[in-house]
Amino acid sequence: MLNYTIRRILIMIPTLLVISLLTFTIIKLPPGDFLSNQIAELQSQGDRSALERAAFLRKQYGLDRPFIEQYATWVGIWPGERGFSGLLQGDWGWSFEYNLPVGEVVGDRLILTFILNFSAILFTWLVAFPIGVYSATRQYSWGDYGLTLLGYVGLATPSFLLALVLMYFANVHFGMSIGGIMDPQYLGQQWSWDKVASVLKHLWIPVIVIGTASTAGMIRRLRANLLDELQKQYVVTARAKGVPRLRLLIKYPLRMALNPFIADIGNLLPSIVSGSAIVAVVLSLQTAGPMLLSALRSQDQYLAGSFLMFMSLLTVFGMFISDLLLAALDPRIRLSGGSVK
Amino acid sequence: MTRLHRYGRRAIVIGYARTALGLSCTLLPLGVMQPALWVGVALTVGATLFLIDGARCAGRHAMKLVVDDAGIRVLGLFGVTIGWDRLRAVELAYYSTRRDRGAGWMQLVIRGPGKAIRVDSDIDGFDRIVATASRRALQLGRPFHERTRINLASLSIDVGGAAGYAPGTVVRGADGA
Repeated sequence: MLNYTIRRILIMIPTLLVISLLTFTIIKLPPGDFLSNQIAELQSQGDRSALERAAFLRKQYGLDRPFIEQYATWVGIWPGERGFSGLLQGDWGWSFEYNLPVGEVVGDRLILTFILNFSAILFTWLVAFPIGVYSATRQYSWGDYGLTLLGYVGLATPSFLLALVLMYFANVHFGMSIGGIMDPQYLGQQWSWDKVASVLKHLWIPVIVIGTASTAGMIRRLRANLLDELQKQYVVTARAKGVPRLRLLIKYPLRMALNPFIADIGNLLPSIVSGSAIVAVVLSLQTAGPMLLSALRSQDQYLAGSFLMFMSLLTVFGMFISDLLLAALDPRIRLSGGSVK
Repeated sequence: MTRLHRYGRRAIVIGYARTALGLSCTLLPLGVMQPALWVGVALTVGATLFLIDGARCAGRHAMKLVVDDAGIRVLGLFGVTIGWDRLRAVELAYYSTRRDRGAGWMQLVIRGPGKAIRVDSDIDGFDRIVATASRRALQLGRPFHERTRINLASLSIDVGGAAGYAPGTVVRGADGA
C-alpha cells in the first residue's frame, strides 16, 4: 500500500499544477480584467484617487506582468512585489469586487455552504441506504415498486421547481421567511446560538431540495449493485450452508455493493463546498455557489481562481482518498485490463 | 531445487528516480517558498513518505529472495524465512493508479507465523514465485480470499472457485512450469 500511496501522491503533484495553470488560463481568457474595466469607468468619471488605488493594486498583484509570471506569483512559486505570497503561502489574493482579501470574503460563506451540503449528503445517505437495501432484498414486492416510483419522481423533478414549491409551503403553512439560510437580522452578524438556531430552522428546505435528486439516484444504484451481488454464487453457497440472511448481507454483498460509493468520494468533497449553486440562487442562500457565479461574471480573477483551485484541490484529494480506500478494500485485477507488470 | 530472485535494475532505477522527484517536489518548496502552515504540514508528510520509499528502495536493491523445497527466505539485514510447512496464507493484490485499472502491478504476500514476506511484480521471476507459493498453500488446504483467486486466475493459476471466470483455466505445475 505504501508503494501505491507514493505513486498516487506523485501523480497528484503534476495534476494540481496542470489544474492550476488551466484555472488561471481560463479566468484570464476574457479580454481585460476587473481593474481595466474599473479604470475605464473611473476615467470617464475623472476620479483620481480611485485611479491611483487601481494602479497600486495593478502593480501589487502584478497584473502588468507577463502571463506566466502572474501565474507563478499567484500559485506562490515565484516571488512577487511582496516576496513569495500566493496559494502555497495561504494568500488567496484580493477580491476587487468586494475590496477585501479573498479569505475574508469566502470565510463565512464557506462555513454555511459546508453545513448545508454536508447535511444534504447526510440526508441522502440516511434515507437512501435503508431504502436501497430494502428494495434489493425485496425485489418486485409492493414496497419495492412504491419506492422505485418515488425514486423516479425524485429523479425527474427539477431541483429549482421543488425549491419553489417548498418555499411556498414553508411560508404559507409554517410562516417562515422566504429564502435565505437564516433570518435576515443575523446576516453579517457574529455567530451566536440564536444565529445557529435560525440556520437550523431554515436548513431543512435546501437539504430536502438538494438531497432529493441524489437520494433517488443513490437508491437506484445501491439497489442495482446489491442485486448483482445477491445473485452471485458465493451468496447462494453461504445461504445453503446456513449463514443467517442479515449477517450474510452485511458481511459480504453490502460491502461489495458499496464500492461505487467509495469511488464517488472524490466528487463528494468538492460538492460539499460548491454544489447546489442553482438551488442557492433560487433560494437566495448566502453560500459559495452564487458568489462564484458573480465572481466569474465580473472577472474578479483572484476570487474566482482561488475558489476554483480550492475545489480542484478537494476533488484531487477526494480522488486520492477514494483510490486508497478502493485499493485497500478491493485490490482486484480486471481480466480484460492491461498488463500486470 | 533452489532459485534466487532479485529486483531488476530498471525497477530499482525507477524507484530511486521516484524518490528523488518526490523529495525535490516536497523539500524544495518547504525550504525556499515559506509555505503556509497547512501546506507545510502536507509537504512534510509527503517528504517523510518519499524518504521511507527511498529506504525501501535501497532495501530492495540489496534484497535477495531464495525459493527452495524447504521454504522461501529473504537474505540480508532484515532477513525472514518462512518454511512451506509453516505457511499460513498467500495473498495476491493488484494495484493500479489508473481508473481503468490498466498498467498496474501486483503484490504477493506470503504469511507465516507472525511474519510475512512481501514481493512486488517488479522482481525477476514473479510468476514462478506466485505459482510455487499458491501451489504450496493449496496443498496445505489454506483458504484463498476471493480477490486473490481472481488475481491468480489472471496469471492462469486456478486454485478453485474463482467465481465469475471461465472454467478450464490452466493449473500450473510445480515452479510454474
